[in-house]
Amino acid sequence: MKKKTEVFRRNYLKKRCFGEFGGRYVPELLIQALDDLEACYLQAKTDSHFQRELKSVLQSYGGRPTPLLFAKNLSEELTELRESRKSSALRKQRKQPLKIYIKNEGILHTGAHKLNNVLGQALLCMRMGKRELVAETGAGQHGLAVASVAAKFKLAAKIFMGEEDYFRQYPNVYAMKNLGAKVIMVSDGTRRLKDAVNAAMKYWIENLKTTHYLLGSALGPFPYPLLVRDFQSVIGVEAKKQLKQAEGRLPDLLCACVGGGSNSLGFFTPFLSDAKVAMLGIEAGGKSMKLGEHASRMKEPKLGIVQGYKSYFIQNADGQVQPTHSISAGLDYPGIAPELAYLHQQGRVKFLSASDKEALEGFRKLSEKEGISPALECAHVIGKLPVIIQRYPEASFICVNISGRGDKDIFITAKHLDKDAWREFLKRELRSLR
Amino acid sequence: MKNKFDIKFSAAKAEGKKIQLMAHMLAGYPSVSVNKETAWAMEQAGADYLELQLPFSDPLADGPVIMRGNHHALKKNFSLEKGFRLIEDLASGQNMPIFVMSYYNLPFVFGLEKFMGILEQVGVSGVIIPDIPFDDESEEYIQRMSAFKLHAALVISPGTSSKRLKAIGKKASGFVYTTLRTGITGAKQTLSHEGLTQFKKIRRAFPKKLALAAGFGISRPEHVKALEGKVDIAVIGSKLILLTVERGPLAVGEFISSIVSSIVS
Repeated sequence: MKKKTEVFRRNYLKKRCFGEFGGRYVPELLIQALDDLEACYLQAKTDSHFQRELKSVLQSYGGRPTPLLFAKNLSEELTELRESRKSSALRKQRKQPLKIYIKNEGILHTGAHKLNNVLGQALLCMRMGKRELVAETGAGQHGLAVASVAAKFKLAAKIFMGEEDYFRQYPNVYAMKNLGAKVIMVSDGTRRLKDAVNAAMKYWIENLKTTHYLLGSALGPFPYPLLVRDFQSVIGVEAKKQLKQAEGRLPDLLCACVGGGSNSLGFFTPFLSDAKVAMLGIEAGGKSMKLGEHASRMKEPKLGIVQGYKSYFIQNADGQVQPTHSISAGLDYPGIAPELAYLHQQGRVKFLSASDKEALEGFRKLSEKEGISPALECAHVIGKLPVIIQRYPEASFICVNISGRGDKDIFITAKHLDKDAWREFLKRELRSLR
Repeated sequence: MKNKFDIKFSAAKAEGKKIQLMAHMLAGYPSVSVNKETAWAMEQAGADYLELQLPFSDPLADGPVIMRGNHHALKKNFSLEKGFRLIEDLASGQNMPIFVMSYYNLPFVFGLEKFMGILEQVGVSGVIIPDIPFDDESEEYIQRMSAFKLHAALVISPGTSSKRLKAIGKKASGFVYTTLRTGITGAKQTLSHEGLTQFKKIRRAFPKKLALAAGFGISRPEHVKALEGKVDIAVIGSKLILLTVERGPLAVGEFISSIVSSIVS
C-alpha cells in the first residue's frame, strides 16, 4: 500500500499532470485554494475514517452497489445482426454469441453516476470547514446530485447552468430548486456547460474562503481530474468484481460515453492494468461533423489550455474555443478530461462518435429490449453497438456503463419519438395552468 | 534586461512621480478604430502605460464587463492577425510602453516563440498572462520571454503566502501585478480592505527596487490616491472599458485627466 502511494505521488503530484496533459493553469488567486484542496484530499485518501464514512453514505444514501445486468435480449439481437452480416461461406463457422452486460449507474440515487463524486467532495468540503457548495451542471444530473447532498448535509448550494441547458433540462432545474439549491442561468458565451464552468469558477474565486467548488467532471485544474476520477472509480471496482463473478473472466471490451469524462474514467480506471481489456469512449457526433454541429474532440485532436487544464479542445486556429452541439447536454462540451487525452495518446483508450440519431435509436433500443430507459448521454453507446461489434470482431464479452437514467430527457425524447401525443399533453397542461 | 518600460519607469521615478498609471483596453472592443482613438486620448491625458488585452473565448479572470467585451469582439470576427496589426499600429502611433495581456491558450496554440517574436518586433515591452501561475516552470518562462526582450509580469493576490511572495520576488521581471481583492476584474465603488492592507507583507517579501502594480476594482480618482506611496503603478481596467463603450474615448481621457490632477494636487 505504501509503495503504491509512493508511485502515485511521484507520477502525478510532482508535475500535476498525466503525461503532457492536465496541470493547473489558473490565476494566482486560485493557487492557495487548490493547494488546500489537494492537501485535504491526500489526507482523506489515506484516512480510514474518511473512507469508511464515504463507503457508508455511498451505500445508505446512494444505494451502492449498483447492479450489473446481463442484457440478454440485446445480446441476442446483436448476435443475430453479426451473423446476418457474414458472407454465406463464413456463416457456417459460428462464433461465440455476444454477451452484453450493463453496469447500471442509473439506479444510483439522483439517477446518475454523478452522486459518487458529489458525496466524496461534499465530505471534503466539510473537512475543510466550508459550508457552501458551488457547481456547474450540463444535463442537470451533477447539479441534482449536488443539490440533494447539500440538503442532506445542511450545506448551501449554488448551481450554474447554461441557458440552453436550463431550458432543455428544465425537469432537473425544477428538482434542484425544490431541494433548496439556487440555480443560476448563464447566458454568456455558448450558453452551455462550458460557460457554466466559467461562471461557477468565477463565483468560487470571489468566495474562496467559504465555498468549495464541486466540479463534476474529471477536468479543470489539478487536483480535480485526479479526485473526480478516484471518487468515480467505485464504478469500475464494483463492475470488475461483478463481471468476474458473472463470467469467470474479465470482459473483452468496455464502452462508455464521454462528455468531460467522469463516468468513463471511473469505469475504465480499475481495468487499466488489464492489458486484454479494450476500452472505447463514445463522443457526441451531433448532427454532422461540421464545426458547431458536434462535440467530438478526438476527431481532430487539437491541444489547448482552457479552464485551467491542458487537453484537447474544439477550437479554431487562433485558439478560440468553438461552439458545440449534442442532443444530450451532458456530452455538449468542447474539452475532454486530460487523463483521457493521455490514455488516447498512449493508445489505451479508443474513441468513436455517435450521432444524435444513433443516440435516440439507442434510447429506444434499450427501453424496448431490456426495460431500461437510459439517459441520452449513455444512449449514444447503445446506439453505436451495431458499429462497435463490427469494429471489434473478436470481442464477445462487452460491458457498457449506463451512466444515468433517462427521466430527465422526456421532453427531448418525446419530441422525437411521440411528437403529436406529446403536443396534446402539453396543450392540456398549459390549459390547466391558466 | 531593459526595454522601453524600464526607461520610462525610472525616468518617472527620478521625476518624483508619486504613482504611475497603466490604462487597460480590450482589442477589438468596441472596434479597432475606437481602440486607436482611445489610446490617443489616454496618452494625451497622461496615462503612462498601455495594457492591451487580446480577446479570448473563455477569459477566466475577467468579470462580466470585460468577459462580454471579449465575446463581442470575437463575434465581430476579431482575429489574432487583426490583433497583431493593432498592436503594431498602437506601438508606432503613441509613446506609452505596451504590455499585451492574453490568456495562455492564444500564444500556446499560435506557438509561443512565434507569438513573442512578433511582439518583440513591434516593440512591445512585456506580457501579462494571468493563467500561468508561478511554479517550477516560471523561471524558464521568464527567461524565454526575456530572450525576446519582453517582461513577463507575474500576478499575485492578497491571499498569496509570504513564502510564495519571496520566491516570486526573486524571479520577477518588469513589475509584479497584485490584485486589490481576491476576485475577478470589475469596477467597484470601494476598494477592499484586504487589498489595501496587503502591501506591507508584499514589500517585506520583495526586493526594494521591484516595481509593484495594483488593479482590480479601481473606479475613482480617490482610489488611485489611496494607493499612492503603496504601489508604483495603478492599473485601471473595467472602468475605462465601460467609459469607452458608454461615453466614448474622450470620456476616457477626461477620467484619466481627473486622476492625474488629483495625484499632482
